[in-house]
Amino acid sequence: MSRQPSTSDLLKYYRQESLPTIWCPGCGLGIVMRSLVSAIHESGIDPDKVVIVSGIGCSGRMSGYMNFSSVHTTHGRALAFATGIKMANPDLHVVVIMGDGDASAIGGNHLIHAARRNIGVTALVANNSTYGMTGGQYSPTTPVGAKSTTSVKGNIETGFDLIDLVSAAGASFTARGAVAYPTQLTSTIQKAIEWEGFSFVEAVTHCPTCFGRKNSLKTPGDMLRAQKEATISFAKAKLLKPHEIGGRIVTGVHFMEKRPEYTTLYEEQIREPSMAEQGGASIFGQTTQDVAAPAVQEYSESATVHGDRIGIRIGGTGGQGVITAGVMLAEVAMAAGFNVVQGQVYGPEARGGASRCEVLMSKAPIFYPEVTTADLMVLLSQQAADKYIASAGPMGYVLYDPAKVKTPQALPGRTILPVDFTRIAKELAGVEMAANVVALGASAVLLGLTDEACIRKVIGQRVPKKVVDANIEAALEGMNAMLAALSGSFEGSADLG
Amino acid sequence: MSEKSIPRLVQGNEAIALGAIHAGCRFYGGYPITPSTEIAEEMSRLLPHIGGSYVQMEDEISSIAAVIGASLTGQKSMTATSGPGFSLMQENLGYAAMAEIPLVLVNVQRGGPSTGLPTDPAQGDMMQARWGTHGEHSIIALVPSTVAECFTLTVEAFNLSERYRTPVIILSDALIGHMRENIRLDQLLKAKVIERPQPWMSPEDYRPFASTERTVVPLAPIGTEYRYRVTGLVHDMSGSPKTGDKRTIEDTGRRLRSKIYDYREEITRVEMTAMDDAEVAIFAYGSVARSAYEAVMWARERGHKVGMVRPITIWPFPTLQMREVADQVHSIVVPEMNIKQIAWETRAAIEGRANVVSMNRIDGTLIAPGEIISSLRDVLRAKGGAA
Repeated sequence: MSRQPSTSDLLKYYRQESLPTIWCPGCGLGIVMRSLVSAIHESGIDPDKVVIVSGIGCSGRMSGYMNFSSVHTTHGRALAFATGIKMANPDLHVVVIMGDGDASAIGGNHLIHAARRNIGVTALVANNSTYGMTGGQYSPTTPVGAKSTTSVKGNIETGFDLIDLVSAAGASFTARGAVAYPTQLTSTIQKAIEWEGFSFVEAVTHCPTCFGRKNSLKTPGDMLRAQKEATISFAKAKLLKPHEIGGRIVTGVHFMEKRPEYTTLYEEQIREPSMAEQGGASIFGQTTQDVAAPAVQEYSESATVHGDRIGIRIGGTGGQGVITAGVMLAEVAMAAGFNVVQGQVYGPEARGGASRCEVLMSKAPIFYPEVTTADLMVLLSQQAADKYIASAGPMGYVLYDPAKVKTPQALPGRTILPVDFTRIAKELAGVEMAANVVALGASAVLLGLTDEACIRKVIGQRVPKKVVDANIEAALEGMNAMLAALSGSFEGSADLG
Repeated sequence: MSEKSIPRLVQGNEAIALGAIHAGCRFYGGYPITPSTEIAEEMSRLLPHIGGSYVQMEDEISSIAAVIGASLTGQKSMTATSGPGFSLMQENLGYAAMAEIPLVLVNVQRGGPSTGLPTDPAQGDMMQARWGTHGEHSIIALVPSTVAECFTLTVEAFNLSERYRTPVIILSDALIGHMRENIRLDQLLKAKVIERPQPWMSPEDYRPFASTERTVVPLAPIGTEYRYRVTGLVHDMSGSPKTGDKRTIEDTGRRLRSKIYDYREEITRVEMTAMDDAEVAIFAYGSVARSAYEAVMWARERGHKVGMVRPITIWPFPTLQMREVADQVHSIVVPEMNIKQIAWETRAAIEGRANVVSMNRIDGTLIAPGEIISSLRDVLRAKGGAA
């Protein structure tokens, strides 16, 4: 058994001006605190690099009594605060002190997720089986039958075995100590602090004021004696059968198995250290949304419809690439010197629901960002046709895919044209999925946005690499089809209006 | 032409992420929720390139908790969410206010209450931003109206959070968040960034909560020789809980309010459009302001003296500016995508100096220019003019 550091060794770890504690005479939390500072002392870690994080309750006050950086957080959330601390500065030794209600009731979610992530913090749970600070209500670790102010007839809820709980969640180090055996508790905490991943220590303690008095353990001494009698080491317990262990406090390290610590994994697998030295500036050169505009293209005056803004609505079904087509169209218009606003509406379905994308383009600033009547409407599904055709602008164009949409009824003033988006995508570009990009090409012609190089560039940046060529082909064929449809059907220009 | 000087098509949420990176944000803790998720996606992609960290927490409560923890280590930190998640963050938002920890919280508003309208815009969280956490405190909240402002106001939010050591909220909405507009990054990157100040006093003399009305004590990073206490309890200037000392309790509560409230003229920005000779003002914010500009143009084309006041900072409320406006105009039209949350505040601020006309829509649809125009016509007719 190792030597316990003397009180004079440990005084420097306390904020002596903050003592005495608020804890009742006979409380076990003082022993837990001394075991913790002893473990920190014995481990030889730099006290400046220690951060103690605690929750709410009697145990929550512990952080403030110790002379380290300390964060007394909100009820149940200490591990979540600690996760941010450790992520932002992995060099720190973060010890999280919680009570049983703190850790396994209100904070139970954070407990299992910290264990699952294997983030390198130590969770030290002082388990006294009750909510002491609020006067002794039953907690998730109160034994069945125990009396409390909210279970006067005896507790009927089955308690957690906290070690089983965090083990099931994937904790890489689990241990239990008891305040009746402070030397062992110290060495257990020390092992936990020195562990690289998530380490969990349950410190079994007692609340004479709120628990003992109600459960035939009248004095702190009675409680400690009962704890001693119930305690058995993990090594001895391994030789017993489960029914012989039942109800006993099995102390010692229960489980330890190395697995990669979370912040280390993040550093090794996620971080891209190459750009860190350049600071944030380098980020702005390379977002995926980058569109290198060619020299600003003269837009033709005749592209202007009523007023100086043009509204485009593309309607279809989730998965057809309606929004991608609209975004690319907006980028082509932007490269041509227009202000653009692009918006979208979609349902909760990732695939198959109604989907609509809108683009506004104007030489003037665009304020109201909605398309009320569409100067150009592209319909890629019957559902979209039924829903949107009434909002076609009075002088507008409606392009529909005859493979998907029944021939719409004529509307006065509107030019309604079939364009074989799907067939062209399938037969001429070889990718049926590129019907949206065929529509992009056709729309670009109507809008006078015929800079091929720009369209190529935009597609190159918005679609997966392996289908870039097919999509460019789809766009060019869409442009051809539109030109053909216009020259076949009408005398006059390709411009709207 | 450098790469940064070309126009770019950027989504509002993405602009917030870019603004955060420019502002020096190096930690993001979050939980996915529509319509804010793109911010998390962008931050998860960008932060590892510049030595920052992204962590996807188990819920919104832990997200803001992790952000507070990260900020305490000296990293500028943020999270983003929407209605339901914003509600879950309220307790720890109060913690950040009480412990005076800088952070930026983005709420991309959607229709509510509860799950409500996940993909549609609303402005229903204006009051939750002000009073959502319990207890007396002040808060700063900014409201972007454009994608470019999503960038610049995120930078400003970080600056304000450092300057006043306080959480700052950005109240975006589903429309601005998901909308794409062309922006000029070269211009936006000129936005000035305030770095977190470091303590000038020795660890022995450091009192992290000794800020006064005149000075804000720098927040030392935890896990250094500055070993101090942080608590959500009422505390003295060293961070020791002082829940039994009435003087400390009263002083702390008043200081938490006054440290922002007393600087509201410095913090609170409003944009005035066509207000010089205005007799009617439209008071509109966020996405609704976009429609309001068009209503002003409609009115001016017809010779009506209508102007517009757009709060860029909604909290602290621009009380003094609105009193001046109210002394000038006879009516203030307040269109908003909630039921009178800011109209009531306006009424309280101007104390009867002008008539406040509220107009509201809560069906997840942006108020259209025509709707504001018809309110304007009513106001103009009531004053006897032709409209």
